[in-house]
Amino acid sequence: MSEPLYIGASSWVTCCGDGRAAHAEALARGASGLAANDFAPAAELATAVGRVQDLERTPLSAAFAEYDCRNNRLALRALGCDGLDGAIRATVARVGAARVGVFVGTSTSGILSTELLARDAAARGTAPAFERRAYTHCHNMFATARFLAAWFGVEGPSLAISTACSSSAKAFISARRAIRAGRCDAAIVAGVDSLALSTLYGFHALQLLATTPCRPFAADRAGISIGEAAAIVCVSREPADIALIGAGESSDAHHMSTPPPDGAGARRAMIAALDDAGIAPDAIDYVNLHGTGTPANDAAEAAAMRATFATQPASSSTKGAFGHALGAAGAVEAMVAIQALRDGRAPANVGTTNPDPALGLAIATAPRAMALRHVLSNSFGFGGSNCALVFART
Amino acid sequence: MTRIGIRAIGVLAPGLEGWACARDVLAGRRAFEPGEVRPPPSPLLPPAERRRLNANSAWALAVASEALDAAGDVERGRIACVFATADGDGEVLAQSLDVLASRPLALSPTLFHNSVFNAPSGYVSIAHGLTGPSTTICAGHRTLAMALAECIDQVEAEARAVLCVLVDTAYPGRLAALRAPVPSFACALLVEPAAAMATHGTLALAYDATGSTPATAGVPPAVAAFFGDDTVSAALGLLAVVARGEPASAPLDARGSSAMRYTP
Repeated sequence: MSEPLYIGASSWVTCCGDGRAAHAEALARGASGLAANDFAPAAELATAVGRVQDLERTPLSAAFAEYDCRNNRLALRALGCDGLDGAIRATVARVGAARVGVFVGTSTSGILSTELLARDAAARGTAPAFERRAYTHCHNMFATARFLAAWFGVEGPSLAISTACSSSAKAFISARRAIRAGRCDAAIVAGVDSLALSTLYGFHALQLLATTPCRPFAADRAGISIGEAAAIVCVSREPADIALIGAGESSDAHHMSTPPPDGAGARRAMIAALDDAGIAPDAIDYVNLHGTGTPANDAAEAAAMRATFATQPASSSTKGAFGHALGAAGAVEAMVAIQALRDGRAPANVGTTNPDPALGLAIATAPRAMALRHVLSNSFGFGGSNCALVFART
Repeated sequence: MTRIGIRAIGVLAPGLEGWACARDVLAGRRAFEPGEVRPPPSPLLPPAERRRLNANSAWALAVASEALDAAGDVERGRIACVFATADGDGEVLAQSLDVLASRPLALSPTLFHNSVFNAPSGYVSIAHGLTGPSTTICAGHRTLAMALAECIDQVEAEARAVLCVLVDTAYPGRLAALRAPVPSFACALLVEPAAAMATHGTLALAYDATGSTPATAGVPPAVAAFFGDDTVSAALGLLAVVARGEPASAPLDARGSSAMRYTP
């Protein structure tokens, strides 16, 4: 059984709202923040998106102008909720700037800035106005970690993890390793991913975008809905009510964009997480499934669940509420797990009224009040990257 | 302080084709003669995957294969992977930007899945049947330092073999305003607990570096000048220390906030 990593101050921003209270309320109601695509740069795509409102109108202050992009705006918006900015500053003051690390999971960082420059230039027939500094501070995969380190003036280890849709779940694991190795005492773990042309048109090219809000695990599931989100958590060895008590990772070594039908890699990640936590499968009270809503991915995850759990625990995907926040999904769903543990309520598999009986899961179609001690959260990504985290009430 | 053993090394870059060549060039025993380099096609990938391989993935696969071949019999499930890239695949980015700026807009599915930063991890895991944990780290000029720290943490905490792959292929000229057109570079280190296997000596992280030594202090000047990038410089400095085979420290980033202490 491994040493717990405690969950300190946290907040999140998604299409369901800003801050913990808004999300607690949305989860309690089983609400969805998905809406018909109104993301202007890709408005031609007939799909639903989980867009965060008003990012277009909230630039960073002059002192941080060089970091100004959609992704960093989203990160800052989360810091502004629930007193998170002040709480992290208090932690930095207490443990020292050199002892605080930054671990950001993201799949596309602020690439939208460069995409729009290229598009504008093509429309005008001019050369794109690319600049090195804008690239490093906004577009580069490390840009949001760079921004958060600069914002808080911290000097500990700082890095971005970019393993597609498992990125920010893995950010928790890297932070845990660094704290255990004594390379820092506290870590800012973040999942931040914002709407971008490459992801919207990319999933469209793969014919994986649903035209209506996604319906994970429904018999007629028809693809994903892309969302954007920032979820930020301060972790340390300071005891708190919730802890990360286990983590597991694996690689499919199968195919670049589809899992093996038996979900073998997903199962190995879940088993590794349970072993790391030192608990048996039947100790898990609720599983937040990756559940993107594509026919193949949901079937593979269901196969992995059946192979892992003799009796199916209550489970749900919350992608019908928030959309698939890609690199931020792992941290968003960590927040879902944390909120579920605090509220004693398994969230609903929003968007799906009739789960596919062939999948053999115990899908919660409505929010369900229940005693929760251990919650498992799954995150799987392109390239066969699998990650599972176990959160517990302490 | 944790020491890790270097079990095997792979290198691919202009004038540094394979570890045997790179070792002699970096130790000053052989002239540096950079030419055009193409990673060899890998027989380990199914034909469909081989055709789809993007540059960063092909280079990563070449150095990972060199290190794994040199290591011999290592149980594949015991190996964790840490991939590191400061800037990802520039050719994929350039093609994606062109498509996203064009009308009608038709992105290819392959171009999209190759755009994820863990594409090299995906292809290498498929080619070599690596089913263990794998991560992909980006940290600007500290990319190598952060990746090696992650490797050491994993070797220490989990007593695993860890394959560390650093890859940054050249950005195309039309994206020179985003990233300087630095030549392509990839290297791989297969590391293990020091007691288990240390064919090429051992490494330990040190944080007492003063920053007075440039990362490329021990690198032949012609090699250092040819590459000239922060992340690659740190890798060259480290490989040069290993190539010379004498106890020494290699700074891991331009600001000298961390270093690797090498013991043959």
